[in-house]
Amino acid sequence: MSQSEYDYPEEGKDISGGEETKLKKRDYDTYVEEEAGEVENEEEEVEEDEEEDEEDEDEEDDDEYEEDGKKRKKRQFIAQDESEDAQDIDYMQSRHLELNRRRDEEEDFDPEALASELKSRHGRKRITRATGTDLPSFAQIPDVHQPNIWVLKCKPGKEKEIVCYFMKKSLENEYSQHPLEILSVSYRESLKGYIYVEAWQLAHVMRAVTNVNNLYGSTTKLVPLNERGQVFDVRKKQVDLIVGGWVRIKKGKFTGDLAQIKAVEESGDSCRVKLIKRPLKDDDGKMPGGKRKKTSYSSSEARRGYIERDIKITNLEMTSPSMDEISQFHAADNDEEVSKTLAETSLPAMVLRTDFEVGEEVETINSPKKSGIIERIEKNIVYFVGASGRQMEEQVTQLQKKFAVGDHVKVLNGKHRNVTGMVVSISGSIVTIVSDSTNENITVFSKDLRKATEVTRSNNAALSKYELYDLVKIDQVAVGVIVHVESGIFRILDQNEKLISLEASQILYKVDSKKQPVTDAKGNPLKTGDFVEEIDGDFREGSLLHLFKHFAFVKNRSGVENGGVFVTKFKSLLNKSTKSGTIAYDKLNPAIAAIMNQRLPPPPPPPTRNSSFGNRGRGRGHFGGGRGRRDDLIDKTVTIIHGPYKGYIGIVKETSDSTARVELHTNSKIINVEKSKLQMRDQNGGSRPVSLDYGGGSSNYGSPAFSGSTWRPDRSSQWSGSRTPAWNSTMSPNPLISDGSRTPAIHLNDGSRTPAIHMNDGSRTPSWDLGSRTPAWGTDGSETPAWDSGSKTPRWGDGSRTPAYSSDYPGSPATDSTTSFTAPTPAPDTPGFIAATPGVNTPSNYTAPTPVANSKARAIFSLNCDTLIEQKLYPL
Amino acid sequence: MDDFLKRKLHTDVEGTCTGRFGYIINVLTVKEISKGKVLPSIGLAEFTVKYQAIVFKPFKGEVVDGTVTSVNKMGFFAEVGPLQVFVSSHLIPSDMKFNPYVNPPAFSDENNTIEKGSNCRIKIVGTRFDATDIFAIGTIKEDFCGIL
Repeated sequence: MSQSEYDYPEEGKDISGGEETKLKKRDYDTYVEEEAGEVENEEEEVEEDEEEDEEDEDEEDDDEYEEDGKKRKKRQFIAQDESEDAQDIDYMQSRHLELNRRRDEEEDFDPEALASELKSRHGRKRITRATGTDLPSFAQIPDVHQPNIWVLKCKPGKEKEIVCYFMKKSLENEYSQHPLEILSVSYRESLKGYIYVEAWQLAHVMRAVTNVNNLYGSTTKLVPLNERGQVFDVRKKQVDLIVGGWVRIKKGKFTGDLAQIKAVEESGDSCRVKLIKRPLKDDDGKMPGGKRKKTSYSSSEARRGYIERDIKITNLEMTSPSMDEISQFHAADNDEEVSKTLAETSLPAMVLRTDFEVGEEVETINSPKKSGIIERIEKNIVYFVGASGRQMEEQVTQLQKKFAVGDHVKVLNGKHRNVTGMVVSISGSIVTIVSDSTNENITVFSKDLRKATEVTRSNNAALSKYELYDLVKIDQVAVGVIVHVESGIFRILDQNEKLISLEASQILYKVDSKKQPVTDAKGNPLKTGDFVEEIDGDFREGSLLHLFKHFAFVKNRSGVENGGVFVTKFKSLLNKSTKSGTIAYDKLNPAIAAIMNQRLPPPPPPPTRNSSFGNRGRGRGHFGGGRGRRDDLIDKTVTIIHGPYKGYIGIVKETSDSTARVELHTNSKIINVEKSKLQMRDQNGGSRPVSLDYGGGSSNYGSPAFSGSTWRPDRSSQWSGSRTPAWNSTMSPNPLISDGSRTPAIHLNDGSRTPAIHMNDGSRTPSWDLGSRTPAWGTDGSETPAWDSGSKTPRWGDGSRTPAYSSDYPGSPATDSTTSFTAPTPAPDTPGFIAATPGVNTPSNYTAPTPVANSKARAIFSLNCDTLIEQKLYPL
Repeated sequence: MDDFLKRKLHTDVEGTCTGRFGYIINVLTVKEISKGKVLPSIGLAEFTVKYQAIVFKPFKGEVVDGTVTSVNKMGFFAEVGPLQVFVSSHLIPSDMKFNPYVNPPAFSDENNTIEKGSNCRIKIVGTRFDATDIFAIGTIKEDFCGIL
């Protein structure tokens, strides 16, 4: 009773997913006619029809007759097999009767009647087809004049069996006393446990379904009219599966896996795909990117790493894999011999419409090559315009993006997503680019590229918290520079030049290294961005990325290893930057130069200065608390005076500019507290606030080594008093005269951490002090503010907070330094800039006035030069 | 004042690179220095300076001579004055093979060796302009290109 017995012309079209069998062609035709009436979309119908032979016989023709004859013969054959079956004999007899009847009819054959019958039938059929496609969808909805459809539950998995049973029953009872009155029985493969029965009346259904195994007649339910259409509505997926194409599996054990189509089953509902065995997917990596293999798949060798499976098309999704995915796929092969031809031939199967965008330049894969710029894309047809203005259109699969060597492109998909680079070679659809950021060669399919204008530094925009070349804190002691970003994994070169891989969550935080003022081997200031060269070792060079403690992270443009980043000690670097913000100011400004020459002792020979300056720069180790650059607040016992932890006592473990990490005495918990909320406790049990303004300089207070002689807690009036001698000692015109006199001067500089001061080389610093401080002392009368102002001058950023300090800076070009002290500052935040202006405009200021003004103006001016004069470029 | 500004200009501008003009090699003449304008709220003075300068801007297709600075398996880097040019191994004639075992590493065929310090004639095939830098890739696969 298989379908092959019937050779219906429409069968192929009508069947799209389910089973369909017919009793007779006549019935089928009748059905089609009914369909025409029902205006159902024939092409989308999944149906198994079984109809009763209620119709009159005059529709039959010769073919049907013969077919019936065949069927009968088969029946006969079956009957012989089961010769003992009396029922079958009865059945055969009835069939014989039918045959005889038909023969009789044949004798009464009337050609005209046949002709008209054929005409009407086929004519209607044509209409049927037309209505099926042309009528608007609302007109195709069944109405009340058509038979009803009932839905019944059955045992899941038995649907087909039940339908076949009904067919048999229908055949058997065709000419019996009680033929089946129902019109059709059908089921949907996608809907397990239900069958549909078409009939005019419920009673017909009930009669038909009684005593049928696995069918639960009591569950009979009428399908509402508005849902009836949907019962047979099959949304056929328009999937153009091409052998060799790439799909992704949506369901089952291999969900998400890439597979290649080996063959599409004839039925069109499933296909054979080639997959990588899961474990092999993990230990690949030997194959270079983009290598493909041509070995015959029949060889067991090649098949080793793969499995082949039949998978339903509904569980597959067309995909457009990137080069790394395919190379990973082919990594299961281990034959080095590459066949690019294979890659090219299978590429069309990978290209999807979405790979193209309007405005892109494309060319056809097959010769003669046509190329042009995409104008629009419709379905799978791309319309593009050639150079000559010629309009062309082509299937998506026949096109590829066109690039030229040297083009700046961006990778759209795959492992290297968002990487930009320049094309260095093109071979068919395989393009090799040199990454902008890492100088690595990347091989990708041209479909995964797009012309780019911008340069992407970061590999992953989503993880923008950290970017390539950021300095990040790895743990309490270690920092590192991100040298490579790849799908959420950061490869970080730490200070010991060790490469580690971390996820974003494992990185503590980003470090800002810009503040640290350091000097290179020759005492020249270094700052990030400067071009530096090593003075020993490999003589590597590059631009300074970051400074951390005594390490410098340098990026070499042409370096490949670690993204060109290397770590070195900054003292072994030489600043070669031509355009450094750190300029020799005496050379720049004649006015300053004049002062310099007047005042400064000749600088000591560089080597001496190096060492001495280095020591100075590093810290007060010589003379004071001996903690180097470390904040002296660390290890101090403090009281928290504000916030939830108010009143708690703890020890400072770490500090930053404004906050301190305090280990509480009570439960040894470490908490972050703002420094302003801390109070220092000293040996005497006294306390004083930790002021931010002092910054690193606060160590001057806190350090017992320093304060031992000079500082007494709680009595601010005495600080300065007791310090005065110290200040005096700094006034020695020549810093080299004695260590004692020089040291405090340096100390002050260091404490105040002024870039400006550091920019001057070491020899000048004392003279600055000496120039500025003493008169200030005297002129101001009040010692404490004077002291403040003196010590703070370099810390111009903070300076505005101290009234005494801000008052130092003239709002208008100062003619006299003394008045400048009294003049209010209009812009206290940036006093340096304001003071600089007069400096530039009226250099005479520098030569004439009191040392105070000079020194200040100079310090300020140096800031100004450092950053601020803007210069505009105009086209030549 | 003018002196200062000119010197400032030289220091600030020479040796820098802009995407628009390329590398500014040397300032020749300062044509005009505007009056200074103090910027409100900052206190800086701004001067607009017009000047003529020698600039170097590489273009696609330009043939340049450079010195090789480093060689690795992916190709070599050459310096053409201030410009960094990368020549990928794809753009080196295929008979020149990378030899990592010699010191310094080199691309070589029977007659020629490209190693650090070699002089090379390169045709620029692509340029990338950053805000502050220009990067180019070149080829020596063309006629008359290659080692000098």
